Amino acid sequence: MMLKGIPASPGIAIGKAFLFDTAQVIVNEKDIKPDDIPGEITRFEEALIKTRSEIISIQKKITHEMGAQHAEIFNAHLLVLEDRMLIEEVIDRLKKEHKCVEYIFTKVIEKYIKVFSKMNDEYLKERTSDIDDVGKRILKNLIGAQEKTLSDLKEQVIVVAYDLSPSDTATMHKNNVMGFVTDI
Amino acid sequence: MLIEKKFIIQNEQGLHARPAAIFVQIANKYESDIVVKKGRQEVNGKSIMGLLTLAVEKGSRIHLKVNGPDAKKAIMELERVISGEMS
Repeated sequence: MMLKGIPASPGIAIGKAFLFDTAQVIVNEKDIKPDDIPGEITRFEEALIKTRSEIISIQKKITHEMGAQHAEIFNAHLLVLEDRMLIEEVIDRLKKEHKCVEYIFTKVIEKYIKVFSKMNDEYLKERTSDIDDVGKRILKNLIGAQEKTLSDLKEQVIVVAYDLSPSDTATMHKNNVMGFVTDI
Repeated sequence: MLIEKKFIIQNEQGLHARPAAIFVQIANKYESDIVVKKGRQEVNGKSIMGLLTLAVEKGSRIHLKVNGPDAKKAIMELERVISGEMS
Protein backbone atom coordinates (compact mmCIF):
# COMPACT_ATOMS: atom_id res chain seq x y z
CA MET A 1 0.00 0.00 0.00
CA MET A 2 1.30 3.41 -0.90
CA LEU A 3 0.04 6.59 0.75
CA LYS A 4 0.88 10.04 -0.48
CA GLY A 5 0.91 13.15 1.64
CA ILE A 6 2.12 16.72 1.91
CA PRO A 7 5.53 17.16 3.52
CA ALA A 8 5.38 19.46 6.52
CA SER A 9 9.13 19.60 7.05
CA PRO A 10 12.15 18.41 5.02
CA GLY A 11 13.98 15.13 5.66
CA ILE A 12 13.33 11.42 5.50
CA ALA A 13 12.64 9.05 8.36
CA ILE A 14 12.31 5.29 8.16
CA GLY A 15 11.09 3.42 11.20
CA LYS A 16 8.40 1.55 13.02
CA ALA A 17 4.96 3.15 13.07
CA PHE A 18 3.43 3.92 16.45
CA LEU A 19 -0.32 4.30 16.23
CA PHE A 20 -1.38 7.02 18.61
CA ASP A 21 -5.09 6.59 18.93
CA THR A 22 -6.92 9.37 20.70
CA ALA A 23 -10.34 8.31 19.54
CA GLN A 24 -13.32 9.92 21.22
CA VAL A 25 -14.35 8.36 24.50
CA ILE A 26 -17.94 7.17 24.36
CA VAL A 27 -19.89 8.60 27.24
CA ASN A 28 -23.06 6.91 28.42
CA GLU A 29 -26.19 8.86 29.19
CA LYS A 30 -26.58 7.83 32.80
CA ASP A 31 -29.47 9.10 34.94
CA ILE A 32 -28.69 10.36 38.41
CA LYS A 33 -30.84 10.98 41.47
CA PRO A 34 -31.39 14.54 42.76
CA ASP A 35 -29.31 13.59 45.82
CA ASP A 36 -26.36 12.85 43.56
CA ILE A 37 -26.22 16.37 42.08
CA PRO A 38 -23.90 17.94 44.70
CA GLY A 39 -21.52 14.99 44.30
CA GLU A 40 -21.50 15.39 40.52
CA ILE A 41 -20.73 19.11 40.88
CA THR A 42 -17.85 18.27 43.21
CA ARG A 43 -16.49 15.73 40.73
CA PHE A 44 -16.69 18.36 38.00
CA GLU A 45 -14.85 20.92 40.13
CA GLU A 46 -12.15 18.41 41.01
CA ALA A 47 -11.66 17.55 37.35
CA LEU A 48 -11.33 21.27 36.56
CA ILE A 49 -8.71 21.74 39.28
CA LYS A 50 -6.74 18.71 38.12
CA THR A 51 -6.90 19.86 34.50
CA ARG A 52 -5.72 23.30 35.49
CA SER A 53 -2.65 21.96 37.22
CA GLU A 54 -1.87 19.70 34.24
CA ILE A 55 -2.09 22.59 31.79
CA ILE A 56 0.08 24.79 33.99
CA SER A 57 2.73 22.11 34.24
CA ILE A 58 2.79 21.60 30.44
CA GLN A 59 2.96 25.37 30.03
CA LYS A 60 5.96 25.57 32.37
CA LYS A 61 7.71 22.76 30.56
CA ILE A 62 7.24 24.43 27.17
CA THR A 63 8.27 27.86 28.46
CA HIS A 64 11.43 26.28 29.80
CA GLU A 65 12.23 24.23 26.69
CA MET A 66 11.04 26.46 23.87
CA GLY A 67 10.30 29.92 25.23
CA ALA A 68 7.23 31.78 26.46
CA GLN A 69 5.91 32.49 22.97
CA HIS A 70 5.33 28.79 22.31
CA ALA A 71 3.54 28.42 25.62
CA GLU A 72 1.04 31.15 24.73
CA ILE A 73 -1.50 28.64 23.35
CA PHE A 74 -1.94 27.25 26.85
CA ASN A 75 -3.17 30.64 28.05
CA ALA A 76 -6.07 30.19 25.65
CA HIS A 77 -6.61 26.72 27.13
CA LEU A 78 -6.72 28.16 30.65
CA LEU A 79 -9.27 30.77 29.57
CA VAL A 80 -11.52 28.04 28.18
CA LEU A 81 -11.05 25.96 31.32
CA GLU A 82 -11.98 28.84 33.60
CA ASP A 83 -14.86 30.03 31.45
CA ARG A 84 -17.79 30.98 33.64
CA MET A 85 -20.41 30.53 30.97
CA LEU A 86 -19.25 27.00 30.27
CA ILE A 87 -19.03 26.03 33.94
CA GLU A 88 -22.41 27.57 34.78
CA GLU A 89 -24.04 25.89 31.82
CA VAL A 90 -22.80 22.47 32.93
CA ILE A 91 -23.99 23.02 36.51
CA ASP A 92 -27.39 24.40 35.40
CA ARG A 93 -28.02 21.48 33.07
CA LEU A 94 -26.93 19.00 35.74
CA LYS A 95 -29.60 20.40 38.04
CA LYS A 96 -32.27 20.38 35.34
CA GLU A 97 -31.59 17.19 33.42
CA HIS A 98 -30.36 14.83 36.16
CA LYS A 99 -27.79 13.10 33.96
CA CYS A 100 -24.22 12.25 34.91
CA VAL A 101 -21.72 15.08 34.60
CA GLU A 102 -19.66 13.33 31.88
CA TYR A 103 -22.70 13.27 29.63
CA ILE A 104 -23.77 16.88 30.27
CA PHE A 105 -20.23 18.16 29.90
CA THR A 106 -19.75 16.34 26.58
CA LYS A 107 -23.00 17.83 25.25
CA VAL A 108 -22.02 21.38 26.27
CA ILE A 109 -18.57 21.07 24.69
CA GLU A 110 -20.08 19.64 21.49
CA LYS A 111 -22.42 22.61 21.30
CA TYR A 112 -19.57 25.13 21.51
CA ILE A 113 -17.43 23.25 19.03
CA LYS A 114 -20.32 23.32 16.58
CA VAL A 115 -20.84 27.06 17.04
CA PHE A 116 -17.15 27.89 16.59
CA SER A 117 -16.48 25.58 13.65
CA LYS A 118 -19.27 27.27 11.69
CA MET A 119 -17.86 30.74 12.10
CA ASN A 120 -16.57 32.68 9.15
CA ASP A 121 -13.34 33.58 10.80
CA GLU A 122 -10.07 31.67 10.75
CA TYR A 123 -9.09 32.69 14.25
CA LEU A 124 -12.38 31.53 15.69
CA LYS A 125 -12.26 28.27 13.75
CA GLU A 126 -8.86 27.58 15.27
CA ARG A 127 -10.35 28.02 18.74
CA THR A 128 -12.35 24.85 18.04
CA SER A 129 -9.21 22.78 18.56
CA ASP A 130 -8.45 24.57 21.86
CA ILE A 131 -11.94 23.80 23.14
CA ASP A 132 -11.63 20.22 21.94
CA ASP A 133 -8.21 19.76 23.54
CA VAL A 134 -9.27 21.17 26.91
CA GLY A 135 -12.60 19.34 26.74
CA LYS A 136 -10.89 15.97 26.23
CA ARG A 137 -8.52 16.64 29.10
CA ILE A 138 -11.37 17.52 31.48
CA LEU A 139 -13.34 14.47 30.38
CA LYS A 140 -10.33 12.23 30.91
CA ASN A 141 -10.01 13.57 34.45
CA LEU A 142 -13.74 13.14 35.09
CA ILE A 143 -13.63 9.51 34.03
CA GLY A 144 -10.34 8.98 35.79
CA ALA A 145 -8.78 7.51 32.66
CA GLN A 146 -5.07 7.12 32.24
CA GLU A 147 -3.65 9.84 30.05
CA LYS A 148 -2.39 8.67 26.69
CA THR A 149 0.85 10.44 26.08
CA LEU A 150 3.84 10.27 23.82
CA SER A 151 6.13 11.03 26.75
CA ASP A 152 7.17 7.47 27.58
CA LEU A 153 8.00 5.92 24.21
CA LYS A 154 10.39 3.04 24.73
CA GLU A 155 11.94 2.99 21.27
CA GLN A 156 12.39 5.18 18.24
CA VAL A 157 9.16 5.40 16.26
CA ILE A 158 7.21 7.37 13.71
CA VAL A 159 4.01 8.60 15.32
CA VAL A 160 0.89 8.02 13.23
CA ALA A 161 -2.21 9.85 14.44
CA TYR A 162 -5.38 11.36 13.11
CA ASP A 163 -4.39 14.65 14.70
CA LEU A 164 -1.95 15.81 17.36
CA SER A 165 -3.04 18.45 19.84
CA PRO A 166 -0.68 21.06 21.29
CA SER A 167 -0.59 19.07 24.55
CA ASP A 168 0.36 15.92 22.62
CA THR A 169 3.29 17.54 20.86
CA ALA A 170 4.33 19.45 23.97
CA THR A 171 4.71 16.30 26.03
CA MET A 172 6.20 14.20 23.23
CA HIS A 173 9.42 12.32 24.01
CA LYS A 174 11.45 14.10 21.32
CA ASN A 175 14.46 11.75 21.21
CA ASN A 176 12.29 8.77 20.41
CA VAL A 177 10.11 10.41 17.80
CA MET A 178 11.70 10.21 14.37
CA GLY A 179 8.77 11.89 12.69
CA PHE A 180 5.01 12.04 12.61
CA VAL A 181 2.22 11.56 10.12
CA THR A 182 -1.20 13.11 10.67
CA ASP A 183 -4.39 13.28 8.68
CA ILE A 184 -5.06 17.03 8.94
CA MET B 1 -23.89 51.24 40.37
CA LEU B 2 -24.91 50.48 36.79
CA ILE B 3 -22.97 52.08 33.99
CA GLU B 4 -23.86 51.60 30.34
CA LYS B 5 -21.90 52.67 27.35
CA LYS B 6 -22.13 52.11 23.60
CA PHE B 7 -19.16 51.63 21.34
CA ILE B 8 -18.40 51.22 17.68
CA ILE B 9 -15.41 48.94 17.35
CA GLN B 10 -12.52 50.67 15.58
CA ASN B 11 -9.89 48.05 16.29
CA GLU B 12 -8.85 46.10 13.13
CA GLN B 13 -9.01 42.79 14.99
CA GLY B 14 -12.42 43.56 16.47
CA LEU B 15 -12.82 41.73 19.75
CA HIS B 16 -11.13 38.55 18.58
CA ALA B 17 -7.83 36.95 19.34
CA ARG B 18 -5.73 38.84 21.85
CA PRO B 19 -8.15 41.73 22.44
CA ALA B 20 -10.88 39.25 23.46
CA ALA B 21 -8.53 37.38 25.77
CA ILE B 22 -7.34 40.63 27.36
CA PHE B 23 -10.92 41.87 27.72
CA VAL B 24 -11.94 38.71 29.58
CA GLN B 25 -8.87 38.71 31.82
CA ILE B 26 -9.50 42.33 32.81
CA ALA B 27 -13.26 41.79 33.24
CA ASN B 28 -12.51 38.96 35.66
CA LYS B 29 -10.48 41.25 37.90
CA TYR B 30 -13.63 43.17 38.80
CA GLU B 31 -16.43 42.27 41.13
CA SER B 32 -19.08 43.96 38.94
CA ASP B 33 -21.25 42.02 36.52
CA ILE B 34 -20.19 42.75 32.98
CA VAL B 35 -22.54 42.20 30.06
CA VAL B 36 -21.67 42.72 26.42
CA LYS B 37 -24.51 43.14 23.98
CA LYS B 38 -24.41 43.09 20.21
CA GLY B 39 -27.75 43.37 18.45
CA ARG B 40 -30.11 41.14 20.40
CA GLN B 41 -27.39 38.84 21.66
CA GLU B 42 -26.15 39.35 25.18
CA VAL B 43 -23.20 37.56 26.81
CA ASN B 44 -21.22 37.53 30.03
CA GLY B 45 -18.14 39.70 29.47
CA LYS B 46 -16.16 37.48 31.82
CA SER B 47 -16.53 34.51 29.48
CA ILE B 48 -14.18 34.02 26.55
CA MET B 49 -16.61 31.60 24.90
CA GLY B 50 -19.41 34.10 25.29
CA LEU B 51 -17.42 36.98 23.91
CA LEU B 52 -16.11 34.99 20.96
CA THR B 53 -19.56 33.72 20.02
CA LEU B 54 -20.64 37.36 19.66
CA ALA B 55 -18.15 37.68 16.79
CA VAL B 56 -17.44 41.37 17.31
CA GLU B 57 -15.73 42.76 14.22
CA LYS B 58 -14.40 46.13 13.21
CA GLY B 59 -17.41 48.40 12.78
CA SER B 60 -19.65 46.35 15.10
CA ARG B 61 -21.78 48.28 17.56
CA ILE B 62 -21.62 46.94 21.07
CA HIS B 63 -23.35 47.91 24.25
CA LEU B 64 -21.47 47.43 27.50
CA LYS B 65 -23.36 47.13 30.79
CA VAL B 66 -21.34 47.09 34.00
CA ASN B 67 -23.13 46.71 37.30
CA GLY B 68 -21.46 46.64 40.69
CA PRO B 69 -19.32 48.46 43.25
CA ASP B 70 -16.29 48.83 40.97
CA ALA B 71 -18.22 49.54 37.76
CA LYS B 72 -16.63 52.92 37.12
CA LYS B 73 -13.05 51.62 37.24
CA ALA B 74 -13.98 48.52 35.26
CA ILE B 75 -15.58 50.43 32.42
CA MET B 76 -12.62 52.80 32.19
CA GLU B 77 -10.17 49.95 31.83
CA LEU B 78 -12.37 47.96 29.43
CA GLU B 79 -12.79 51.04 27.28
CA ARG B 80 -9.03 51.10 26.77
CA VAL B 81 -9.09 47.47 25.63
CA ILE B 82 -11.94 48.12 23.21
CA SER B 83 -10.24 51.15 21.72
CA GLY B 84 -7.14 49.04 21.07
CA GLU B 85 -4.88 50.94 23.46
CA MET B 86 -4.12 47.71 25.27
CA SER B 87 -3.13 44.70 23.24
